[in-house]
Amino acid sequence: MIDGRLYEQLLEFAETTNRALSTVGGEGNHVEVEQGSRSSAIRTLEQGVLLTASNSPVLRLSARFVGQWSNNGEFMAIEHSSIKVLPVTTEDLTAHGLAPENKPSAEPVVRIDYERNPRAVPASHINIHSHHPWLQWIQTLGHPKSRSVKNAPRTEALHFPTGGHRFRPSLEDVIEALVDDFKLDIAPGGRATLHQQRASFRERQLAPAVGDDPETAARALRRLGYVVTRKPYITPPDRRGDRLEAL
Amino acid sequence: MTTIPITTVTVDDLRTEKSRLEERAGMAFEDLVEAADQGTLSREQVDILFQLESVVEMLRIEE
Repeated sequence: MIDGRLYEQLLEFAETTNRALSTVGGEGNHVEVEQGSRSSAIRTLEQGVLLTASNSPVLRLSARFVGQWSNNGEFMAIEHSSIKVLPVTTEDLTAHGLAPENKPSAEPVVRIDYERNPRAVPASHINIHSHHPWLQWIQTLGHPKSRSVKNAPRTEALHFPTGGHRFRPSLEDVIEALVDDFKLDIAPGGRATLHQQRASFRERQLAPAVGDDPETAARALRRLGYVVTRKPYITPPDRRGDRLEAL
Repeated sequence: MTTIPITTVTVDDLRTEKSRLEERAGMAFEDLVEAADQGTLSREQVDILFQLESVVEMLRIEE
């Protein structure tokens, strides 16, 4: 059983996630949470959240975040996250009085993933599901290629990096981009909620980013007029080159 | 304010949930992943796989 402080963190994260989803999915509970002895998962309900434009179904959005408690038990670090944008279901269309000529595809539109300890892919990346004939032509060339390019011309095999460990996109970024591009229905005050939560996400990311490279952060603060000195009895933290250089 | 329920799970609970989801999908997790790469899953299987991935990710940490 986790202690009260971690439980509060988990609950706050779940509520924040639900609030972001509610801006486009309507009031109610859009997520379920499981808590283990060392990890937790927050995920949307099975079919994800229905996104509408002018009250017509347009897309579905699924999200999940799997976290692990830090070794000192003070905070939860995200180990994996995945945000997936999908076509609506046949049931969504019929429920809205729409009769699709073709059954909606089961293939996602786009997927935005993060892996804290990635193998062979960028830590934060986006997979766009599409086909491009030029990629098919590249496949015919004889030069060595990554496994991803060998799997092209499906672009979802390619993992485009999106900001590394610290500057990855948030759920709020994805939701607002979809609202703008697809003119999705959004709750009154929804944008303000997304903006506020995005700012909080970036503040949370900034603190560990400073920890990755404190000397650069201190120089930047001095340029802004702050007096920044390290207490002489504090051992200088190591620059986290692994985090700064990681794809 | 919506109250989000938090369910406490053990490794055994996660294993049971994995089996239940695999049974519903009609395929083991590894086969679902491979079929997803090939784009041959039904929509229901796609949604189940998304849930299953979080269960497997938790199991890897918990075990």
